[in-house]
Amino acid sequence: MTAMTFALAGALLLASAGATLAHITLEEPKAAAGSAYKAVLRVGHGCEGAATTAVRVQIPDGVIDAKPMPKPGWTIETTVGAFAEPAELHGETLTEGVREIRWSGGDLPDEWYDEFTFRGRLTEALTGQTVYFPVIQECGEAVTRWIEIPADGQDPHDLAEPAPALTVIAPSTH
Amino acid sequence: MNSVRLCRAGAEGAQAALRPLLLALVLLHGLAGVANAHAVMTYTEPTDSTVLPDLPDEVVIHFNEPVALTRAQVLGPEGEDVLPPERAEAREDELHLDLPEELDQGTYTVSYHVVSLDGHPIAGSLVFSVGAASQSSGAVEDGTAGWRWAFVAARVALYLALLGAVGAVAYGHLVRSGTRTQHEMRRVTATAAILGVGAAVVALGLQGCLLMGGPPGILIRPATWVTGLSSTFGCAALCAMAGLGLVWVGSQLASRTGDGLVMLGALVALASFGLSGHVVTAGPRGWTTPLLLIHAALAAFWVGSLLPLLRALDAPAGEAASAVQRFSALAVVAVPVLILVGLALTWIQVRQPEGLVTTPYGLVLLIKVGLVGALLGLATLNRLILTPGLTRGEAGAARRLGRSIQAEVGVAVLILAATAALGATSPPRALMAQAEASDAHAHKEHRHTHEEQRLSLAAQNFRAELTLVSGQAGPKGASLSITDHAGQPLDVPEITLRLSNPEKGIAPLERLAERLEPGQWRIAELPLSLTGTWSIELDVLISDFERQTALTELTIR
Repeated sequence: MTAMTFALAGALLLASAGATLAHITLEEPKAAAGSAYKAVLRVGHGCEGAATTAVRVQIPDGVIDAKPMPKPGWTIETTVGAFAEPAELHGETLTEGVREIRWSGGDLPDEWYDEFTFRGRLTEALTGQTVYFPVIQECGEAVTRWIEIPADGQDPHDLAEPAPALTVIAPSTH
Repeated sequence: MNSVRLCRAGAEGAQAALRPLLLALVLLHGLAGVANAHAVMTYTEPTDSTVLPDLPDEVVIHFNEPVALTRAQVLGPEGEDVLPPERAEAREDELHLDLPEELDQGTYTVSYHVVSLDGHPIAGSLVFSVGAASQSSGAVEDGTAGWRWAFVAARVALYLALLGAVGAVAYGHLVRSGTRTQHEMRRVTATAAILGVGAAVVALGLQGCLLMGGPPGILIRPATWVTGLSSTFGCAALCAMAGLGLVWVGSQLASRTGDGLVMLGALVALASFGLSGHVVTAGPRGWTTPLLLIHAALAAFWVGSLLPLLRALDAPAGEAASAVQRFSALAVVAVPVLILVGLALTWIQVRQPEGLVTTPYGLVLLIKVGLVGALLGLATLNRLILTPGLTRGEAGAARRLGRSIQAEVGVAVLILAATAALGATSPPRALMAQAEASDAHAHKEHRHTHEEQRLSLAAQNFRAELTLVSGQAGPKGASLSITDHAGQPLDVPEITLRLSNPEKGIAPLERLAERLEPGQWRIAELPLSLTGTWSIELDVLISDFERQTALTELTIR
């Protein structure tokens, strides 16, 4: 048992120090409502060993004007759809916008790490809420869906494949 | 949070020896910041659901990271644990279960609980067979059989009251008017309406119990009633109650407005037949529902008139004869239409004649048809011999006709019982993937085996019906139909079924369902060979980005 303890502790240290994150998460998990948010999806591994070939993210309600950052080696597509609620941006009322971003045609080995970046504006209505960006990770035929959203009172750490979460705080006053 | 996690891990039944390890992990975890690492099972030797020629030396479960063992077991064909604790060992990212040498042929269920780097408990199971799969140890029981028959009984009572109330209204208007009759009919209608409302309330609760399954105590749980109300029968029961309520109010008013209310109530009550049941969901809805309503209305007229007719026979001979003649004149038109519509509905339900004799549904339908034949025989006897006798004023004619009508009432009750039983017999449906898989309707209505067991599950956006079927040998298969809450087939990208048996320590076994057509899925093998209470979780991917889960339990004896 002792040997095992050491082995595990050592492995854990390595794991933490090397920042190998098993989940797909957002680099910055907190942002202010009313601001433009740069979302960085961190992909630390493939689907059970297979290389990642596509990443799809759903843009939640209340996040508008979403724009992916170009990424060499990957084809980027966006899907435009209606918003649940119309939103104001620079004096214009928007009723639709980008609801899904898809990076495809890439090849990210399980052993490598990469980031997928996009930007979106957080509407003030999101203040105090946690919003989720469900992600589908495709590895050829295999698919991992990071789409679990914790139920009320559930510890997000109990989810096997949680959706990346963003806590939206009150707008900064200055 | 760390302490919470430690407590939870402890509650998971980790051995005491594991605690220092966990503590060390948790402390390190805190120091090192957020490490989201989760171990996942990558593959197993042997592979899940395989049949092997010989017993393997060991079972190896591979993970993507090192794990520590909490507990593992291997249950044999008889459900006994064949793995001595010292034969289970975690080596880095592998879990080795060294099997004893002398083991019988049959199906083995392996279950493991390990802890990953970050202190998260991970559990899983796999099933393999040596030689051949074991016979299932017994019939599947989901604890709903008693509820089913109680529900059928309540439904018979509801049908009787509905037809009695509506029929008395029709009789009062069509066959015999006059103040005395009107007064009497109002009384009959009011009584039937109250009985009907009572029966509907009871049936509603019993429907909830039937859907939930469980001991008698569940009848008093609010959730049971909510379930009953949210079913299609709940809708029909509410409609029947509303209609019968109107009938009762109208009959109390004893005025022209009252009569109007009674008529309206009778129509609303009749409409309830069109809201629930297998007939409603069979075939093109635009066709079957009007047919069903005509069928119910004519049946109400016929059956509902029998009791008033019996009473009319007590009147002076001339008056009795005129009432019977008027009924007879109407029935000559109504009954053939009733029978024709009934045959049309039967054809929609059965389509393949062999379905009549090979399925319980078909057999009950045959019994109903036989009973209807008997009723027709009595009606013919009445019309051709007994009624003319009464008209001629023959001695004892009223008594003989009375006896015949009493017999008709008895047969009518049996017919209604058969009708209610049809409603509770699962209409033959898609079972295992077979050649007929493409013909959804034929499936839904015709196939049925004795070893079939139905379970209903629901979540926010879907409703699912899981039909478990025992194969000729060994594990069970299941078919799954999934609809939205309006009853329309729901096409979803992926469905996963998870089974666990906490009593036997079997951690979740996952099976991916195979899509046959929109809304119809199957699972070829479910390793439900052990007795006990299994919890069933149905994970349905509603859209690419949203998954919903429904839960239920199943008891195997």
